Amino acid sequence: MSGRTKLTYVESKLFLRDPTAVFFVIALPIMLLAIFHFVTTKSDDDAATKASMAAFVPAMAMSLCLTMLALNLLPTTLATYREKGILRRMAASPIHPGNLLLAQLFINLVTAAVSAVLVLIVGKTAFDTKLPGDVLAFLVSFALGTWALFSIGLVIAAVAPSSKSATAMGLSLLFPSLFFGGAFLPKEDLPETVSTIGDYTPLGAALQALRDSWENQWPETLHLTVLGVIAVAATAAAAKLFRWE
Amino acid sequence: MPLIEVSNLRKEYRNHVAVQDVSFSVEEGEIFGILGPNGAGKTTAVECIEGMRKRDGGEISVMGLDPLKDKDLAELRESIGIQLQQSELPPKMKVWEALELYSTFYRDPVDWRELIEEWGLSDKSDTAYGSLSGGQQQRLSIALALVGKPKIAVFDELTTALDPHARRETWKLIEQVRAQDVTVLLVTHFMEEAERLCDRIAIIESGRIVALDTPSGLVSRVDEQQIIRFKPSVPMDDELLTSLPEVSSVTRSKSQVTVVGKGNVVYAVISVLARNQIVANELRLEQASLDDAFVALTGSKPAN
Repeated sequence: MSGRTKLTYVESKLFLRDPTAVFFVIALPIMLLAIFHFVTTKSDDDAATKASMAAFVPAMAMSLCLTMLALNLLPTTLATYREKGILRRMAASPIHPGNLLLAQLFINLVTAAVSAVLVLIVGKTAFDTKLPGDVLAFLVSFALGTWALFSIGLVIAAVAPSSKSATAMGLSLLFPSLFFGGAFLPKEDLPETVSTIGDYTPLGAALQALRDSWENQWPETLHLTVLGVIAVAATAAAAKLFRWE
Repeated sequence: MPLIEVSNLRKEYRNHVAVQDVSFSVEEGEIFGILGPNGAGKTTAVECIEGMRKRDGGEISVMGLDPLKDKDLAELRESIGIQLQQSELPPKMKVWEALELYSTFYRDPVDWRELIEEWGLSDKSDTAYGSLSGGQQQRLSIALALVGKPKIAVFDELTTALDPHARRETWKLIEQVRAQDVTVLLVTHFMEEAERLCDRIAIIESGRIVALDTPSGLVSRVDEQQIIRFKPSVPMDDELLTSLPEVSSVTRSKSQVTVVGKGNVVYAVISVLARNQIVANELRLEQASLDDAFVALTGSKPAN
């Protein structure tokens, strides 16, 4: 096995040894699906509301997992790797430590994809949620949303001086994102100002784009643009700001 | 031809000069020590040699390679084994995984299974890095530095965090490394360590080399000095001793008298005491050590 392949393989094993990672990927989305299933079947809402919830819940569960991975798990891991001198140790070998970042990014992206597939399958088979109506729109929204959120996670990893501060920065972005982005309450139930701000947040834009794809609609240009701009700008910022030690 | 040649090395950080002007060369097969007080610029100097930092001035050649040139640096990475100060592995990575992983990074690695055996890590092979003791982590980090079959190994403050027993064990390991024809660059602030291991030592102070010699050569620079300690059997006047031309100082702590002097000082002191019918109890005579040389050369106290 080449150095890079082996590195990705070993990092994957380390990732799976961490129970919080497995929680975010498997337990959290299924818990969300189960809780919302329980709430919606008990309520005496009309059929239209229930149908809307069946499209909202999987999109919400998916974007929440994505946000947790991107804003919490990834930046904390990378900041720890820098803080503990793990990147530096690798810089002393013939392999560039950038390969360690790429391996971590790859693992987190695969995890995001696995959790998304899990939401689709478990939601459909066990909790009566819908599948996306427009598959292409879904794929585009998911890919763009993932890129935007992960690149923000990389900016945090780039600037956080320690793993603790990376966690703190991640969480301080996470909670406002959940509120403004319409993850606690669907966008249509939010006050207008909050919902408008939410359109410009990565989680808000990703969640709305995903919901549109579920409703068999092409996502709004505004949401795709917001995601694209954040993705490009944050990726560039992360690459420029990243410190190896 | 020397394996490592450094001339007029200079490295500045934003608001201070870490290395002013350092020149030395290391021959193949040597254990070369870099000794100095904390903050003297030892680590910065070796990091410039390793190519972990970019120098601001001077020339460095390591096996004919210049660590400032990207192409040379890539080549250098293959043949220099580095143990860094304060660098860890992921806490859940197991010993064998770390060695197997790092062996895939090199063109021509040694068999990592042999390294596990050789460095006494066989029963810890399946243990995670985070569960190892300090000494075991240190042995793993030496083994990792050697996995690429290096020509040069750089150890930076290898034994600082270790207890005296583990420190002595590590010294044996370093001698073992040299026995395998690896040239060793050793950064330390322990006199005893440098004296025991190094063929030659450069003493660095405030970014400059203040002395470069063999351990015994450094000691001989100050060894005309002798120290006599004793407890007088009856109270005595310091004047008796300070009046002797051979004595340079007399100090007291509790009942103990410490006399420092040159030449025939021992004979002179003993005769004066005998003449005054004073018995020197618990008499001790000390020769200068590398500690004394260090103090004399740098004007500061060594660590510990």
